[in-house]
Amino acid sequence: MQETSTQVMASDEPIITCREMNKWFGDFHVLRNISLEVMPQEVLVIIGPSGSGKSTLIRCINRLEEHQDGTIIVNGIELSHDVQNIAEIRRETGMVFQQFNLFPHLTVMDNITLAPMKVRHWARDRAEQRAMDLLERVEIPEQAFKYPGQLSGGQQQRVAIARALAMEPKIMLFDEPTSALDPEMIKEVLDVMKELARTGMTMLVVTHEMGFAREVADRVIFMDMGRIVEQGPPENFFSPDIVHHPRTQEFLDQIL
Amino acid sequence: MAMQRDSRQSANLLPAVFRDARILQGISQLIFVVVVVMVMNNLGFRINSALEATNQTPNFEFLQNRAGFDLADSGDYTSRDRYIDAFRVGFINTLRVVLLGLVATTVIGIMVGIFLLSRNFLLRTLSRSYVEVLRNTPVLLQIFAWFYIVIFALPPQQESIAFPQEGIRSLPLLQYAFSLLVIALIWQYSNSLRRPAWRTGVRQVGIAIVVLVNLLGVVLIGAGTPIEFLPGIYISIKGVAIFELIPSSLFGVWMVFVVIGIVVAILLWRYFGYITETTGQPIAKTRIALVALVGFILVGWLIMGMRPTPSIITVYDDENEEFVDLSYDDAFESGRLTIEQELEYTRQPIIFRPPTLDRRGRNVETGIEISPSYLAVFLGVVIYTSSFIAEVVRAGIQAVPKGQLEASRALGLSRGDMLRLVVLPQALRVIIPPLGNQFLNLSKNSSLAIAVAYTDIYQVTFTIINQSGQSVTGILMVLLAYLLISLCISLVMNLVNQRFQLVTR
Repeated sequence: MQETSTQVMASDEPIITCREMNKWFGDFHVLRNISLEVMPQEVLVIIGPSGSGKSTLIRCINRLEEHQDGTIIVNGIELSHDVQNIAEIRRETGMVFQQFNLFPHLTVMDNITLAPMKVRHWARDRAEQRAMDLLERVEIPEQAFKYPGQLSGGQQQRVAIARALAMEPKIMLFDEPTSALDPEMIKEVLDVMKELARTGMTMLVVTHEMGFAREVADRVIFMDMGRIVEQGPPENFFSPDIVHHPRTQEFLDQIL
Repeated sequence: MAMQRDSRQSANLLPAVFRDARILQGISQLIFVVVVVMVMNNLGFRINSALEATNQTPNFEFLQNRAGFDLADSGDYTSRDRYIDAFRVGFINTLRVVLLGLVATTVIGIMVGIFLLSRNFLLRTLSRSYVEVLRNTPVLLQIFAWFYIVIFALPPQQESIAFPQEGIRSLPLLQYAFSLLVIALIWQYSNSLRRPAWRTGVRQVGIAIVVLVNLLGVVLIGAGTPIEFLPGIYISIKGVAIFELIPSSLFGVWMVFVVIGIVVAILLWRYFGYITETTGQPIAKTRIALVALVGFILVGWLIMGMRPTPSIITVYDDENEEFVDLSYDDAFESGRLTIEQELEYTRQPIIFRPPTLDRRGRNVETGIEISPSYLAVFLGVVIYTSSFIAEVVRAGIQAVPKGQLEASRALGLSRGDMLRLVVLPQALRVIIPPLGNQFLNLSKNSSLAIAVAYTDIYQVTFTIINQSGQSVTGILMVLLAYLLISLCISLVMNLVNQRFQLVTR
């Protein structure tokens, strides 16, 4: 169960492929020989102690961080210094941040319609229609014309999810989406994410919510010291009968 | 328990009215106002009686008296005018520094501020040195430095540095403008071509033809006759003399074209904006609007150029000391047209008039003269303030959280859209209040003009006070003048600031 577990999903091509990827921050080796394949519609949960490189890994996938060695192929396009490739990959990947990062000077509606209008060149009507649909889906249509500063944390994060979805991405990246939220609000955000997973979105989720991982994930990855230590389906991963890598066991003992 | 009751009882010794926080606040404010009024009243009385004793009661009547002193940088003002006229000269001179200075310092400050964040090492280091040197030395010293640079480093007026050096003979100005317009149109057209090879091909061939026509000196029909540029700027110890642009008799008609051009440009800009909103199709609306505007202005100029000129015009021949009749073009070529005749009969809406010296080579006869004092004050306050504005701009841009940039990138926004739609609105929120402070600093620092004898409001009023002895009135008037300027700046900046406030709970 260690090393590469090949997720069998018919003959489908993987939508994300990382091969022998390495990254350094100065002298610090954050990502070491990461090789990873993600299939379309797969929900991948990445767990691990802080500083293990999980956030950096998903931030490399939409080029918020630059990898220095190895290859990343997203949706058939290789990530390089080619700005056109980067732009194309970013169009197809949505991202949700720990700190929401909504644009404070724009209304909820404008936050959501900005990218579809500027990047996808949609008409305003279409973008606003799509925004309202998404706000219904995350259950806050009545907040459409408020500013982010007027919303609660949970509402802001749901707007952030709607904003990412407005671009109709093929892949969604979640970087600790519930870590900055009050306990009560975590549930409302997780519910939205679960619903999203059911619709067949390809999702990479960095989180500490083990309940979410157990319930929704197709595969769980444990990272430590910049390496993928162990991966497998959640029923195996969280089963007490399985013999884990000692580092994984240590981590699980602490959080479960 | 008992102790608590005791303390309550002792507090109750004061009547309830005097324990009410609101009433206590009211009383203390009342006392403060009374004290201030008393002190001011007393001071005013003492000053008044002291001045009465020397027969100098403050009044405003003296302003109507003859000033009797000359002023530099004063336009039509002479020593025969009244004090109030001298005061007006000073006020206008201060405004000349402040208004132009605000524009210049903002432009320079924003540029340097952006350079401070540049990835280019040289640019970053140079702009950093600029800021550190200029904001860490006194502005008075800088004004003196500029003044001495002008006085000591520049040649006497007879040997002025001219720009362009010997003047330039060139094709008609209009032809260059047309060439640029044609290139813009070719560019616009080539953008609509699908194949990249065709796009670059059309561009290269088109531009090559335009450049070739100009290089060969082919004058297009209607573009006018080739012109000779005399040097437009002279720099010397006496300051800077700059060419004048004088509106001719055709100016009004030409302005109609300009106004129509502006209206059409705005309508086009709005229309294409609306198209983008409703269809999503991206259109370079600003570029289209600009091309339309420039087009209207040029076509207007061209049509003005078709006005027939008088076939015979009477001019004075200096050499033979007699009046002769010439055709307009001959008269123009020989330089015998008076400025009035030229303004009346020219084919151009605006006449370019290079600076010339009078016969003795001392004074500037035509053109705009800028005195060394004005230059020193202007450069001093503008450059000094720009270094602070640069820091304000840099800090404002850096104050936008990194997360905002990451969110914009993750959504796939282009760099330009990110800066325009996400970074700038948030940076301006931080930049505008301290920017207003710097504007106020500039307007107040302009009073240092007295150090280099620039006749600003402070310097003029000082002279008035010395002559008339009306110190209280004089000081009051300067105070009010600066207050007026500062309040106007504050008002504008507050209005701007309101637009950028964030809505929060």
